[in-house]
Amino acid sequence: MRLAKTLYITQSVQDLGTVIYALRRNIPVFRLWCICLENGRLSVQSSRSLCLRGKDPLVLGFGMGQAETVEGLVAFVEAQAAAGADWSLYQRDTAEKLFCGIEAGKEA
Amino acid sequence: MEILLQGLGALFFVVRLLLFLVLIVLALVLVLLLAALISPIHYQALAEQGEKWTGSALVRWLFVRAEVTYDGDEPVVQVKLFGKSFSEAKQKRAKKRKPKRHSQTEKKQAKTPASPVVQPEETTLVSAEKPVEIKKTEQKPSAAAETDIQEKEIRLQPPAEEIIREKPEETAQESSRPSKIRRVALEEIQEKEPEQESEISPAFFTGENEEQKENILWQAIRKENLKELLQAVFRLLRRIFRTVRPNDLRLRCTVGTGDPAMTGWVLAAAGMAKAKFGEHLQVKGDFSQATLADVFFQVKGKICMMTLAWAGIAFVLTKPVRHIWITLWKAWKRKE
Repeated sequence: MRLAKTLYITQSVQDLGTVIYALRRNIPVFRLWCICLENGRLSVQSSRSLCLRGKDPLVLGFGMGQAETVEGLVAFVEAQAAAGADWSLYQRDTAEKLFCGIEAGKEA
Repeated sequence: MEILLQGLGALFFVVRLLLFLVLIVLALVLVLLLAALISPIHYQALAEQGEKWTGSALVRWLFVRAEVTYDGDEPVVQVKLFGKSFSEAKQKRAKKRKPKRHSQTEKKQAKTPASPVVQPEETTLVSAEKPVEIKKTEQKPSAAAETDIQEKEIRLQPPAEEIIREKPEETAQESSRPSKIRRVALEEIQEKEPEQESEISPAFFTGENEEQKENILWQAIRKENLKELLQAVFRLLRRIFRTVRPNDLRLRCTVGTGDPAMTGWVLAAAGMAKAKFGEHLQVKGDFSQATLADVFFQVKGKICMMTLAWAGIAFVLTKPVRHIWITLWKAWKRKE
């Protein structure tokens, strides 16, 4: 799973090290939901669905529970809008460069 | 010499009398025990659905009789010993106590009207967004009055959570959002492997020392022939079922679970029960809706303690069970 350089993390997530360890190895974490960017579309998905259905989105943040993670997503959008983000750059190739600081097709 | 003989005669008479008394007591105990074992426990239950649900349950054993009746309002429990009812005596006592209770409730009611007067103040305090401290500065009352007000305020102040709920939603979200969500650089987070549960010992995986720690009962069971043991257990269960099984079972109802397939399963189970309990089971199916209507249920039976005791003794004396409890006994002795 690809993770952004700066992650938006909600208050309830305590053990960040373990969560990162699990997400990098596609291990679902109970009640963990992720803010995902996939094909220029922002969404909130459970870690279970991400890990078990073989999806590969860019994870921008995560939170415990769906409602809390949606708040995180809103905070992310607000921050991006305040910074004057260009939404056209949210496509797969450009998004990786934008959030992970890497060129498309290369591993982080 | 004659006096000695007379004394001995008296002594023998007393001893004989004592022995006779002991024998009588033993005989009485034996008779009571036999009566308890031989006389069956009668049970009976009846339930009917008319305009209201009504029902009754009765258990009778020797001189004890317990009955619960329900007429749709309140269940009435009646326990009789040698024909005398406990509940009647209780009712008499309750009647005597009732006036006192009434007076207590009246007193409580007299005290309670004060609370509705206080509540509006409470709501105004909570709903007012300004903090309590501002009020104090505005009023500036005397020292004694101030302490009274403080006490009142402490009493009326709701918990902090409730105050937060009273706030408008938008402001609450705006204030909480920055604190709830944090931005963390991925480089700062150090990966950590989740700790393994320490409760599980390595022996659980290797299986080396597990046999030593294993429960003695389980060890004893494993040594025995499992087939024979299971046969003994099933025999015991069959005997218990035969003893407890009702002599008369009547059921008439219309059942629908809401799911036609499930209703079909229920009816099939009812058909199997019909083969066991006879023609008195009349269960109709309603495949269109979830319902339970026209219910009439009656069950009568008796449980003989002697049969149950026999089943228990027979089970305990079966070869594998006997070996198990002898092993347990020896282990217990060793521990001591």
